[in-house]
Amino acid sequence: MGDMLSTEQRGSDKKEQSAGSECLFYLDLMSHEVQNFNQAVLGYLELIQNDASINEDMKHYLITAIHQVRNSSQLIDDVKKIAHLGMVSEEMFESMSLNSIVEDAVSYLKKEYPGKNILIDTTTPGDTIRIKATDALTDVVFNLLSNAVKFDTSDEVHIGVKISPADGKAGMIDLAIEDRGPGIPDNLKKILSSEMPPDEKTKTVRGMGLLLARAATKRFGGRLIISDRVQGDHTQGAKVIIRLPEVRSR
Amino acid sequence: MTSIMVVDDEVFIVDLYRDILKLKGYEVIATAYDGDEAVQKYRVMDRRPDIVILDHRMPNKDGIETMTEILALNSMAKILFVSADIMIEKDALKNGARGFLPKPFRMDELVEYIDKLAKT
Repeated sequence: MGDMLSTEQRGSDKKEQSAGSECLFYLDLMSHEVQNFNQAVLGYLELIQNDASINEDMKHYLITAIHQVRNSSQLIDDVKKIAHLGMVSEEMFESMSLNSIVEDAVSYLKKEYPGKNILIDTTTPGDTIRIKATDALTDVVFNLLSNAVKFDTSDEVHIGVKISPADGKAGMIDLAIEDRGPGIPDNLKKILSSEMPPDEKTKTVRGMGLLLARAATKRFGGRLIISDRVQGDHTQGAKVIIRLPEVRSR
Repeated sequence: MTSIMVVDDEVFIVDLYRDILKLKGYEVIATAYDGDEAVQKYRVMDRRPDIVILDHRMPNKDGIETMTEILALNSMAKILFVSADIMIEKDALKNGARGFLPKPFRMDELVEYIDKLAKT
C-alpha cells in the first residue's frame, strides 16, 4: 500500500512538474514576443524624440510613453525571473561572494543613471561573505538599488548599503539597503515581509521588484525584511534587508 | 564607416535596426532572417561586416549555433548578441559573443556597444 501511494505521489509530482514546465514555456514565449514588440515601440519613439522639430509638449508625451514601455518591460522581466526561481533546484545554486554582488550592482547602477548624483555609503566586513544563490540575486540587489535611485527626486541620492551578521540569528547574514525615497507604506511592508505564500492581497502590490526580492530570498533559504529607515515614519525612506544563510568554508 | 550585418527573424526588428543604424551613420551591408540564412550569407560575402548583430530565438538555427558557425568561418568575427532572452547571456558570452544587449535596449546603448566593439 505504502509503495502504491508513493508511486501515485511520484506520478502526481511528475504531472505537476510537467505542468509547471509547460506554463514556463508559454510564459517565456509570451515575454520574448512582447519584449520584441516593446523594442520596436521604444526604438521608434526614441527616433521621434531625436527629431529637433518636435515641441516641448510632444517631448513630454514621448518621455511618458517611453517610461511606460520601460515599465512594461521591467514587469515582464521580473515576472519571468520569479517564475524561473520556482523551477531552480538547489543543485543549481552557486557559492557567491556577497561583497562582489554589491560591488557589481553599484558599478552597474552608476552606469545606468549617469546624470544622477548618487552617493552610496557601503559598509562591508573585511572578509568576503559567501552565500549560495543564483544570478537572480544580483538582479535583486540591482533592482533594489535602482528603485532607490528611481524614486528619489532629490538632487543628491543617498543610499546606505551594509553587509553584517544578522542580529540574534546565528549563521545568517544581512544585506541592508537604506534609501531616502518616498518609503513603503505600512500595509505594503506587512504583505512583503510576510513569510506566507502569495495570495489575493499580494496581487494588489505595486512594484514587482520587491516581490522578486521576496521570492528570491525565500528560494535561497532566507527572508526579506522591510522597515522604515526612520522607524515609524515611512515617508523618510525604506530599509530593505535581504537575510540569507552564510556559507562558511571548512 | 562601421559596417554591420543584422540577423533577426522579426522583419519589424530588422527594419528598426536599419532605421536606427542609418540615422547614426552606420552601414548595414547585410540582413538575414534566420540562422541558416545568416551563415550562408556570411560564408560567401566578399566584404565581411565589422560587426554582426545577432538575435537568439530564430527558426532553423538559434543564435548560439549561428554564432558558433560564423566564428568557425572567421574566429575574429565581432558578434553582438541582442536578445529578449536574458537567461541566455552567460551562454552567449561563453560561446564567443563580444557583448550582450538585452531587448528592449535604448538607442544610445546600442550605439555605445557598436562603437566600443568597432574600436577593439
